[in-house]
Amino acid sequence: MDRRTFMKLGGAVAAAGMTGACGQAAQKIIPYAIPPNDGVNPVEGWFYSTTCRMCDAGCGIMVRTVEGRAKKVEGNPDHPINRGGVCARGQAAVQQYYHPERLKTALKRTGAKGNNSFTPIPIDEALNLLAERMKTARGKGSFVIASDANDVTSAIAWKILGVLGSTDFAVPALNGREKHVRSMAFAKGLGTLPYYDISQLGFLLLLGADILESGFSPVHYAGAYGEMRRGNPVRRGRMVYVGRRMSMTAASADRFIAANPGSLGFLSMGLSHEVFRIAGDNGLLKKIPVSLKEKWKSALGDYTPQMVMEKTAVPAKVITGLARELLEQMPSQAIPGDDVVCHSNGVDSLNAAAFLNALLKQIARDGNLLKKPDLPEEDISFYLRMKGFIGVPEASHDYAVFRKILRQSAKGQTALGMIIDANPVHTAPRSLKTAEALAKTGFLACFSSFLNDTTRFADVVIPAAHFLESWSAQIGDYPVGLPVLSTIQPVVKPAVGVIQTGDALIQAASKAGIKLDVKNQEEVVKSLVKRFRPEMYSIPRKLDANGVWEYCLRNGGWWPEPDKSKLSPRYVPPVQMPAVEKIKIANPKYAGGKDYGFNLHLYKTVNMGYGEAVNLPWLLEMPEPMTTLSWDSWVEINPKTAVKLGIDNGDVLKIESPFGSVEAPAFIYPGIAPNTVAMPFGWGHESFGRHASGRGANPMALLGDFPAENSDEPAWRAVKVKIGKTGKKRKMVREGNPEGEYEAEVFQL
Amino acid sequence: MTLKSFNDKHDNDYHWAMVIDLDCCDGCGACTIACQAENNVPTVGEERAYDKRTMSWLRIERYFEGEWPNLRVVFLPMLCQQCDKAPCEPVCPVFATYHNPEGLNVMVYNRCIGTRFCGNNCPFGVRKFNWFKNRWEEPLEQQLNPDISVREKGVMEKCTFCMQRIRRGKDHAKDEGREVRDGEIIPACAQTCPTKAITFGNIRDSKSKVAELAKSKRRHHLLEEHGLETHVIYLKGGE
Amino acid sequence: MSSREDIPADERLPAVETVRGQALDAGIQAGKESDFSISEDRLNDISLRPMFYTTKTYYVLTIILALIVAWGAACWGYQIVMGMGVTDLRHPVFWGLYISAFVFWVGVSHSGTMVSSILRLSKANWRRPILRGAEAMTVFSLLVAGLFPVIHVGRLWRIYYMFPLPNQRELWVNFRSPLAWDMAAIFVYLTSAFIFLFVGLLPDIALARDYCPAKNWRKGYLKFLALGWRGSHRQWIVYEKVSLYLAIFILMIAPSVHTIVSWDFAMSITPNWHTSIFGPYFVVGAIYSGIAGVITLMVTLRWIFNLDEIIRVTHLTNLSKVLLLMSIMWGYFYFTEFITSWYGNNPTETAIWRWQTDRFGPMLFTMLGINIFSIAALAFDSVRKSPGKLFVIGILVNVAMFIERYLIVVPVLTHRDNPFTWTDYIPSFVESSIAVAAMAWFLLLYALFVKILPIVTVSDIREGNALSCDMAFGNRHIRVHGDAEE
Repeated sequence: MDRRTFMKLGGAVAAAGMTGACGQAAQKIIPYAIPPNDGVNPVEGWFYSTTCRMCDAGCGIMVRTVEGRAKKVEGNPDHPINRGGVCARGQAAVQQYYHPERLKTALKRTGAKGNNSFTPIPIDEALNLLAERMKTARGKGSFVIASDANDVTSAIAWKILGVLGSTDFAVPALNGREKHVRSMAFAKGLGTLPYYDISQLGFLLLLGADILESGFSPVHYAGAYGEMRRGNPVRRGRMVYVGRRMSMTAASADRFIAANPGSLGFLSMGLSHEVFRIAGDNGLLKKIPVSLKEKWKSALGDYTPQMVMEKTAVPAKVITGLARELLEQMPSQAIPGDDVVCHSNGVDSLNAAAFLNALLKQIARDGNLLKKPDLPEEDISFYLRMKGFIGVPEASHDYAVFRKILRQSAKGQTALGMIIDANPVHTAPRSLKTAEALAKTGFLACFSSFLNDTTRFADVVIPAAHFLESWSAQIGDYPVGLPVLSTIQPVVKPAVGVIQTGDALIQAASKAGIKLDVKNQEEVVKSLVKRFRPEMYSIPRKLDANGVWEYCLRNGGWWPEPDKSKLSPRYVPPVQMPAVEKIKIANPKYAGGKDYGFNLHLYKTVNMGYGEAVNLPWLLEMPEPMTTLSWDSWVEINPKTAVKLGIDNGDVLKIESPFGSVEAPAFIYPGIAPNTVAMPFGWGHESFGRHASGRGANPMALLGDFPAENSDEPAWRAVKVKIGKTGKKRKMVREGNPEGEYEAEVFQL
Repeated sequence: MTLKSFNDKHDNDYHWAMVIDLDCCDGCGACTIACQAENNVPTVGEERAYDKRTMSWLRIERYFEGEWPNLRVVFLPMLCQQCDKAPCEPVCPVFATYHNPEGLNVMVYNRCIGTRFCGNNCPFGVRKFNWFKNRWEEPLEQQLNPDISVREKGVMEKCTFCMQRIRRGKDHAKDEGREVRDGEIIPACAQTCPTKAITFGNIRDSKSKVAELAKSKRRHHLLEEHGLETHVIYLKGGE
Repeated sequence: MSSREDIPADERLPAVETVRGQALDAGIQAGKESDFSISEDRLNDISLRPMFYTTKTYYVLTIILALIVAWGAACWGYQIVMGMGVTDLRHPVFWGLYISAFVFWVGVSHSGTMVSSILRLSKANWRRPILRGAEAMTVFSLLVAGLFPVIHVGRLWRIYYMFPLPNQRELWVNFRSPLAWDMAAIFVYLTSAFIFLFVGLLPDIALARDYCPAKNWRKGYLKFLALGWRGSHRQWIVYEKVSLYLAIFILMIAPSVHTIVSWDFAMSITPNWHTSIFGPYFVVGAIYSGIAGVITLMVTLRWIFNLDEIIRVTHLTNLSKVLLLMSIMWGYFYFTEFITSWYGNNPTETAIWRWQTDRFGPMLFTMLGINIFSIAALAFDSVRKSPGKLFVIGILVNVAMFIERYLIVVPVLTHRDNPFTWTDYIPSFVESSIAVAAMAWFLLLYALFVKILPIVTVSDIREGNALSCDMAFGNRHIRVHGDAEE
């Protein structure tokens, strides 16, 4: 064969090949582009029901585990608190669990307090040290600072504290809880947190209440909010927000109304005035005794729309309009939030809101304006009985207890302090001098998963097990219309080198000769469930003790059937009308004189809260919804103010209050009142691992010992500041584009 | 069989779709972290985040209208819209992104060579590129979802509608010899959504919840003028 | 075949006289030897001197270029190791400086071969000295251009997925993708441009081979590359045919290549890219920048290698006329593109224009300014006849055209459909280094080329010389040109 023939033959073969291949090319190529199973071969995993402890709301979660490792947090759809939802922080629990900086050994202080110099010691040795102190501390002053008062760990700590002869159990948080409780006691006679069922509402008025991001249970309220909006196919609940800042919750409202700071109590009274007037005109108050009506009339008489307009800067017409809407779109409700509570006149303003709500409810009942289902009344007494099982009194949330602890410690009068999973050095106003007080505590034991601002002052740090590897139980912090017992179980084998806080406390106590008749935390949980059994009125009767235990572990706890129509609340109080004549709204007072031109508006962001989990990269990198900023804190300033002061995005501002100052980069934010600057809580840790340390500014430095009336909690929305440029500039990690953010019409939304 | 008829074929029983009710969405961002946890989406750190190299497959876009105090805010959860006429698919020279018979745009990470043409051709900006090698510091790698891979540097990625969950749901249904039930498959974002704004399901099943919701008068597709036939359906907010 | 004498007489390069004789046969009256004509030996000396005589400056420049290239290579290596994140590309700006540079270099490549083939086909006699330089420019700028997609991809080690190779899953390249077309187009263009260059080089390689002293290191490869060229009659006939067909082929490929490059953009649904005008607009822009590139290079060669006698002002003037034409055409296309999107008033598109004038204002106005200036300047005969001024214009036009490519690629991506993702992009140090190194790489290739192969189209000039003669009309002598094949 010569070359030419070879080429010819080769060509013929190639041509034949081409002809053969062409016919089926498309059928071949395309299916082959699709890999079998789309290239995914899913693994089966196990789901364990437990309870989220990233904040103290207590959402039910199910953790997916594969080969003994926790992979993913899912909401427990049956759990009445979160109904399957989980917030960003809850989702990040798995990252917290696997955080490289988790403490895996006990630490003993070697240098001076506050120096962060520790040497690793075995846990047993650390417990011995604690036990020695427990032995000697009896009657010499001891305290517990915890992040939650409703779980089994708190119950154990409370018990030990009792043996040590102390009741100083503090759960310090700047959430206005004690004022809420006080107001509820005023309005209903029972001191609990209020609960607002918004899921069936026709009209919801938010008085500075950021229920979807920083309330007591954002996930629960978010679920109810969704239901209010679209749960009912024929009616969409309307929501109006009155406040100082376009918060995430305000952004979801149909209408935003700006009002002066500290004036929402006046607004509540003014709305009551108008509601009362309009309802009277329309004959809706016929069932109310005349004497009562007269009393209300005289109590509300001063709060005419004109007067309220002067105080709040909300136009009188708008006030009347709101009152009309409240009446016309029954069921309606007003929820007071931080703007109301955390001002100098917080308690009275809360009471005013409570009266407005009671009035609305009364009118609705009397006028048969409610469609089924009725607003369920919370079963408060039952809840209180449940809480009794834990034992820690509600009063531990009072700032007064925390202040007392600090006072005594600063004087050197406390022999033993135990800090459970809390970080008061970071989360308490700087001017309370928490750090200094803790440094003077005789012996400070911190139970913590991470080294943080507070552990710096510890004598021993005990590596607390994460909640994903612990036993515990929690009484739903406040009733969600239902009493809830949430159980917490280890979803993975506990890591080596950590100990559950309850176990550590029990072991130390037994070493110190304190009899607790329980071996470990798991047993306490078991016994709690056992004691609870008679109360569990909605589980199959035939279950034995073991069956109930398994039932609880399987479901993540116990609560009555979620179907409200089947639920027979044991205690339905009638609408109690608060004594409105006792409500006298004082004009707001401020810390900071005339030099301080700006109102300081501090708030919790949905991902950071008070900064408990600010060391998690997932949350750090998550853009805060309203600002789309991440990785750093900021100070919000109105665009017009910024132009006036020549401030640009990223200019580092010095924020100065009468109590201290911080520096933070400016963020020009259209949703903040012109005479106000806003800052998020949670940032500016001095020591909290490499992600969080020194990141951002801690606005606690701006807060001081400025208690509200009738309360020990600092009135932290009643602080005035001045701002000044430092000349520095900082890069801000911002997801959105400052110009593009105004271009929503591209999407025709 | 032409390419068009392949994309259009209706012989499959499933066509996945998502309905997002903007009236319910409160912008809390739980979905973004749920997605991150489910899909091994890395965090990139402050510097890279500043450079806009975050890898999130799902983000909450927040838009303003007006000025204080008459400010209106719109939250828009933005994820891959799983277009039926996906502009990202034809431009990939190596078939790294393709349309599967259930209407999803799927990525084959191993095929991707990183021309990033798909990212350019996506009007929503939801495709993410691995600019660097991603690291999971020990023991964070233990959290990684074994269902799906960790992407190499130089590879495109995006929302898959939690493909692994769809597969698992279908596997379960197959084992039991039945069709997938409505609500059986829930992507991570929909599962975690506190307000239940996200609904996922088979739009070809007229009784499914997504099909019901998609009949809403508030139904809205993003950038409909491009004719992409997106399968994330937004229900407009407001009254 | 070590020396000319060994070659049989009938296979030797035709002496000038022979060619002239052919010309005479073709019916052209030979006049007296003109002052402009260069003797054969002198032509060889001048043309081949750049190849054989190297100055110190050349070494210094080459080493500097090589260092820049080495730095760029190091940057590339760093980019491969670290990932594409070392660029300033970001979400959703997935293309940036690299793709701009790719389009730019493909554009530059356009004039060389295409112009040379047009001129060959139209038998423009003034083409002769510039052919080689222009063709070499095409090949080298294409080599540089082809490098950019390679630099640009995220997983370089998997780039062979782009090639239609047999594989286990029988997965073929996605031919729906403009990138696949692009790759094919560039590959075809590069191959044909290379062949075109090589074919044109053949007689000159042979000449250099013969000219080359026996002991020079070039002798070996020149002998090999000359492929046994003797300059026989048959070889010349084949040569002419191949040149002609290649020229036609190239003429068809060249516009399609840049059209396909434009389709990388125009086929997407990205606003401002998705326009039907992009094909011709890119081709015109490419020829425009390419001509400017040719002028710049010609003036440079002329200056460095003292080729004034060969690359004469006339040539530059003629090129500058083409440049003027192309600049006007480019201006027309730019105007058309702008006016249609302005009139259409599509919100996204207008937003992008706004953004361009806002964020990219200085660049935009530099680009427009240069182009308007060059149109105005080229209108003057004095400019067209001044190599120095043309050199400046050539450089400016290429700067402007680079900016233009950058403004096509970047502003759109930083400011596209989803307003939430708007962002800014400024090429990083690594990116800029690589782009600069690519320029250096081009120059280095060119500089090396000059030293290893003849840069002047000696045989073509000789042909031209042979075909031209001075005719006497009365007492005036006029230079006339003829063609051997007519």
